[in-house]
Amino acid sequence: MSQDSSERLTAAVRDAVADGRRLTVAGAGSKRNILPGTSGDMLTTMEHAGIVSYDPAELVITARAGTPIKALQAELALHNQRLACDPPQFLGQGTVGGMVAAGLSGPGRPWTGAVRDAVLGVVMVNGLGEQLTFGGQVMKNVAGYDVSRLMAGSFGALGVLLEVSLRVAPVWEDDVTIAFDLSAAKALDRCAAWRQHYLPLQGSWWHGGRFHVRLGGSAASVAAAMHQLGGERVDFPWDHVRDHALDFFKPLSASGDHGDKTLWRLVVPPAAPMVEAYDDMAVMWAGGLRWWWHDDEEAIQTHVKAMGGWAWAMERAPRLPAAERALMRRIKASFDPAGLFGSALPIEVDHAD
Amino acid sequence: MRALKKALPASCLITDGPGLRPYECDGLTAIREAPWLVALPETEAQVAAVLAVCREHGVSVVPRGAGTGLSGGARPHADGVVLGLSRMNRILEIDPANGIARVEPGVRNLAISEAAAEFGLYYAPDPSSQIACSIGGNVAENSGGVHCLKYGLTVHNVLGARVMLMNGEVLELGGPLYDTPGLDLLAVLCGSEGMLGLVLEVTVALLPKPPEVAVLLAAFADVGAAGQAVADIIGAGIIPAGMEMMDRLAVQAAEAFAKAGYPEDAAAILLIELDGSETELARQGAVVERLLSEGGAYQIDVARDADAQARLWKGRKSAFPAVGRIAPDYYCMDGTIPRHRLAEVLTEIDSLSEEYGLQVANVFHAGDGNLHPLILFDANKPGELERTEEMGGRILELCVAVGGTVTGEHGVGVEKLNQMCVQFNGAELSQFFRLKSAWDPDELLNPGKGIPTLTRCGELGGMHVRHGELPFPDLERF
Repeated sequence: MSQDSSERLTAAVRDAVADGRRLTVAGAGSKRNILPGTSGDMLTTMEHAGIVSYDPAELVITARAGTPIKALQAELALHNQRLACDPPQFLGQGTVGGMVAAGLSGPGRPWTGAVRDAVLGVVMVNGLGEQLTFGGQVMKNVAGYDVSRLMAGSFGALGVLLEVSLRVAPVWEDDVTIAFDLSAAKALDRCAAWRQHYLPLQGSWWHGGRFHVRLGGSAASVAAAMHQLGGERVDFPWDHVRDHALDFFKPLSASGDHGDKTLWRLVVPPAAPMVEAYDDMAVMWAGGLRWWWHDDEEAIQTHVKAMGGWAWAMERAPRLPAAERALMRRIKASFDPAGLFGSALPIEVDHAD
Repeated sequence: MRALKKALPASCLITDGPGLRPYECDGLTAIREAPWLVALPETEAQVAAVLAVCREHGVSVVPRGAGTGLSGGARPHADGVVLGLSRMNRILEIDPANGIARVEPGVRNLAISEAAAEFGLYYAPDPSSQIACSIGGNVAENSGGVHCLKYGLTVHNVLGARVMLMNGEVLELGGPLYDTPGLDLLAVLCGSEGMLGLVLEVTVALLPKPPEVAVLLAAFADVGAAGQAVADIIGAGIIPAGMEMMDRLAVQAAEAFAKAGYPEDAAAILLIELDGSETELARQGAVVERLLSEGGAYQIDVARDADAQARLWKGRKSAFPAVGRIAPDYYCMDGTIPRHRLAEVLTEIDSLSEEYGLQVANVFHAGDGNLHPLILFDANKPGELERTEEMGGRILELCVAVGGTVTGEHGVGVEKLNQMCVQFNGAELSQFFRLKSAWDPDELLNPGKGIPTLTRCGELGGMHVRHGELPFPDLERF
């Protein structure tokens, strides 16, 4: 499946400019259920797919936006490589363009980095219908502002991604999960202590008194870490954590009835104090990301503010400080002066704070 | 000036005399200009006061860290203020539980690692100027270092920043957090060369020190074979902590200067640093040694103790001053190329060297494709600087032509403005200017740096006509 639709997509943007129509850019729509709604005609990049270039020894792959992440991974796996980030793929549906536009991170974030860390270059169409190239296919590049990384997490507000170059990494020789029976607070204590040791940590997940830790790297370093950390070796579906497919993420499941509660995503300093919320709470990123089923938005906002973090509920927009929001709006206008692109970027909503 | 004197204590202002001299240039000493005045605020309130005065009077502001930049990013304007942040140099917090340090912009890069050492932690990016350069400047330039293939650039190791916009607004971007809401302002601030905002505070990630380190030196009779060995090592799934290449002229200069024990007959040497646990290192070291010898290395030395490693690195780290001793002047380029084009690029640089009659020593961050050709010249010979600059421009155009970039880590500053016209077209440059306006609509912050105007590129057009093609057919010409 490989097709170059860059001219068609660019023309579609130019037509919309001419007709004064709004557009919403989408990949496979795999994140539709977790993002706020947007307005405008749907412009999908799905058929603009295929790997443009890949030389494993360069550690860089360039792919069209509509390429399924699954296809990209399959190609990388043939050469014993993987993405140098851990984005949700929503069980294989997500596209490379959507992955960059959403900039979401799975359980490996603190160790493998975020999508923006792996982005090296983009080809995009801005709101003037201009095809622009920023960054490149090389690791180090400080020519001009880093627009390619700005595209990561921009939710389609700045333009249509046509092509993305990503840094890739070698696969781990060994990939092992160890588990511990621990309270969340005790699990976080261990994470804080481990931060001072050279360990092949690649993921963490705490829920319901069970703490899972992923170790990945050379066989020698994984074996040494298993010896050092102890715990019980288990199988664990990290892709289900990554893709929000575990029962915990479902409002009603065998693991509990969350009733009318909303699932909040709290980003906090990893060592911030832990509240004991038992079945309603799950913790990732060695403490830096906490999922909490809760029915009181103000309580969540107060709590997260006190810890120096921020919160985001599924299908809602996170709050932004006024000066940042204003700057983001000006940046959006610099790419899209006519406000052509509707998006889930949380810059339109005014909050009282 | 009256307004500034009211806003700042006299000890924080340099208004005339020899005190201004050190601020005439940064590490790019060929381009100098005396600033109108220098402000050295010690607090955030003083920074705000300086910006307020400059805003009111429409005076431009050139932010400056330690002044070690290599592209003239901190070059002053005769009618502008240099705002030096070197006195804001407190380490505010080392927080091992969260794995971060919070520091003021004037803190030196190396001072962070020194302060974190008692917890077994360090700050990974290590530009060669790390003894002197400051973290605020590192953010502005998105500085790299010899370990960035494995551990990333500044942008990968900075989690948060407190930033003041030219309009006086203060933004708190990120923090000890792995994710931020909205647009990634921190990503675009990194490498923005002081043109978007002033960094008042930085939160950096600290990493645990690797328990063991080994450094290998491999000598090759052929530059292409050395390049292929680099590709083979990465192809085998090994990401060394550092991987550096030097060509014959660079090796000879470094050896004469540092007595590092480099084989002077080599066409190229590779320096490879591996890190990790003891068993991991033993296995990786064996694989790397095998690949090197299969790849044609005729000499491989392994340094396991810290002294021997420091000696091997000393040659590489002193390569620039060493080259400085074999010629009256040298001009340092900073292109990045896809690694597999290395042999071709070096051959082309050789023929440019012949064409211009100027010697070139090549130092190469082989792991990440960042090439530093050093052109040797004598500024006292009439016309030689101009010829050097022209040849340098052609090397950077070559880097762009093979799919690379005009600057990997030193920044555009004022030095590489012309080459930016080769890499970006009119629409892309216009997008950069609109992005700049979103942060600094009056264009008071570090004007004239980083991004060339369309007019400048249009006027340059004539110099760059090749094969009868105009490089920017879509640009208006004046």
